[in-house]
Amino acid sequence: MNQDKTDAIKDVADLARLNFDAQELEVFALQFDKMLEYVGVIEQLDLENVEPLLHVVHSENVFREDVAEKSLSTAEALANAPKHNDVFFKVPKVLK
Amino acid sequence: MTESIVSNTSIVETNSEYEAVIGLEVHAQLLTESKAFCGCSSDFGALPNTNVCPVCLGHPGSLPKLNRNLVEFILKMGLATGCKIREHSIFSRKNYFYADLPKGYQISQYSDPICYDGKIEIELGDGATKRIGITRIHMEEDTGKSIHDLDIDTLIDYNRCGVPLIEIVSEPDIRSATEAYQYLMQIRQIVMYLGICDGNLEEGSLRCDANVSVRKRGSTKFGVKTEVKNLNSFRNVEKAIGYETDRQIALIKSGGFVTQETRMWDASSQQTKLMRSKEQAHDYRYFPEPDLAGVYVNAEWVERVKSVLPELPMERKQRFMNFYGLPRYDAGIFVEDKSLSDFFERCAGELETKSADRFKAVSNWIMTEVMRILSDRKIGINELAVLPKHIAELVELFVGEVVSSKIAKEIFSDVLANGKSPKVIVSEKNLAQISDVAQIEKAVSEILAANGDNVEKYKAGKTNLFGFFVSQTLKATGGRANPRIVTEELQRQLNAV
Repeated sequence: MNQDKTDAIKDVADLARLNFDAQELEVFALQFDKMLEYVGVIEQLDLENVEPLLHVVHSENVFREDVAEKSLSTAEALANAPKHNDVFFKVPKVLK
Repeated sequence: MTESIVSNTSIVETNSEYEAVIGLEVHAQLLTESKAFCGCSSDFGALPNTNVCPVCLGHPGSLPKLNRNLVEFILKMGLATGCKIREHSIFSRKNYFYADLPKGYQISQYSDPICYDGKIEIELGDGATKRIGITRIHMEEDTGKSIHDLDIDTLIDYNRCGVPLIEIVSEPDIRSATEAYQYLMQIRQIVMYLGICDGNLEEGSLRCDANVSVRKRGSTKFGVKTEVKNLNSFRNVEKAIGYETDRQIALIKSGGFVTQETRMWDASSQQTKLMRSKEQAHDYRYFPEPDLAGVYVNAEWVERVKSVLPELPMERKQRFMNFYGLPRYDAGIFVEDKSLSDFFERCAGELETKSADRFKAVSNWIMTEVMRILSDRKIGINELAVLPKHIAELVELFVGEVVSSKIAKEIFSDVLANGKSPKVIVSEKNLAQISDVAQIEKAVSEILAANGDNVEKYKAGKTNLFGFFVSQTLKATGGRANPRIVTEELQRQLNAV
């Protein structure tokens, strides 16, 4: 049972590129249990005809007009890049 | 732009035992001024990493704000394809790690896309049409561009990152590679007529993935499908789908079975190759995008977009056939390129006498003389400096037998070179065709008198000398004698000898 939970957490962690050891996974499993238990209280309510709440503040149609504005300079854009060649961002090769 | 249909007789089209079931996912890059969620220019071809800002670079704390035209443009596409428009829709995050997407997720629409349940009509040979269902059309953002072959590292240009896309997902209604080609062609024409995408497959403003499966004909159950990617030209779409259906049928016939996987079309080997199997498929963990407000499209907005929708390619094609009396072929050629069909209409509108035969003559002139020059110079009609009025004049000059078609072609070169009106060129260079019978009668009798020996040979049975007499007479009149009258007159005088 607990193994299933830690496996599920590990899957999600892998997708998020996070590494945890077995002990950490156990701790998370316990913590997640508590959180789900807490949120699970809601299940006592009849939510048959209630739409999921997507935003706390209900707002729609917040637009910007389609006008091109000034962008960063390339030097500014690259300033925080771990690796660049003054024109491009550089990342480890992903294709052979 | 006119690319003939590759005749691709895959097994599916000739084998009655199996049929292909194909659905297409088409991405169209929108012609907005700025990106989907920030004010960076969406210009194609700018220097690398010049159209970027904290939002599209995914800097912490930056917030997206939706470009109104993204909604406006997708509504045009939705309404042009008969889609239902959802009043309330939202954006979701599609999460995956790849360096061309600095946020770690793509903003897209997942459940409840803004447009759904539409259709596109395609033509199958002789004007029969088939309806291909549209499952959904949704909004999303493009990724950056990775360059793998210039450096030991992968180089990334984020100019394209955040440029708005729409994804058009079809129902699995397509039954052959040729139908897939026709469907894609229709989408391309529609987005271009709507002015929301430049329709360029080679440059990637239109991209196509295909879901392909096969099944026994008559079966209602779907077979296992593969997804085929990298279809970056019309030719490749047809070839790749043809190849993939053949591959699946051969596999099944030899006792094997198709596995659900993603394959990539490799144009150099003309094969589809395995990219990833289903086990390696992504889990995108979609969830509602908390940084963007929802989109609400009321009836008023829908009506306003509807009222400004232009005439669509299929409608225009029908009108060209009905109103101008053009053959389906001619109408199809023009409609494929909106500018060219606009040009035809402007030329036809400049005709002094508006009649079906003159419309057809204009059509012939554009399809032969004008399109030959466009293809020689590799330009579009809008880059050719010629007035529709001059094309109409020229066509009327030769339909009215004022000049021969040979002279008309010479005049056309002049018109292109110096922009003068064909009528002016005719009078300045004295090119008007001689249709005065008395004048031609005189020219013919002079030629016959000067070639007595050949007249005798002709009378003795060497009738192929007739062409020689024609060309001699035309030459004597500087090419201006009406060939029809020359022929009649020669026959008359030779018979009388």
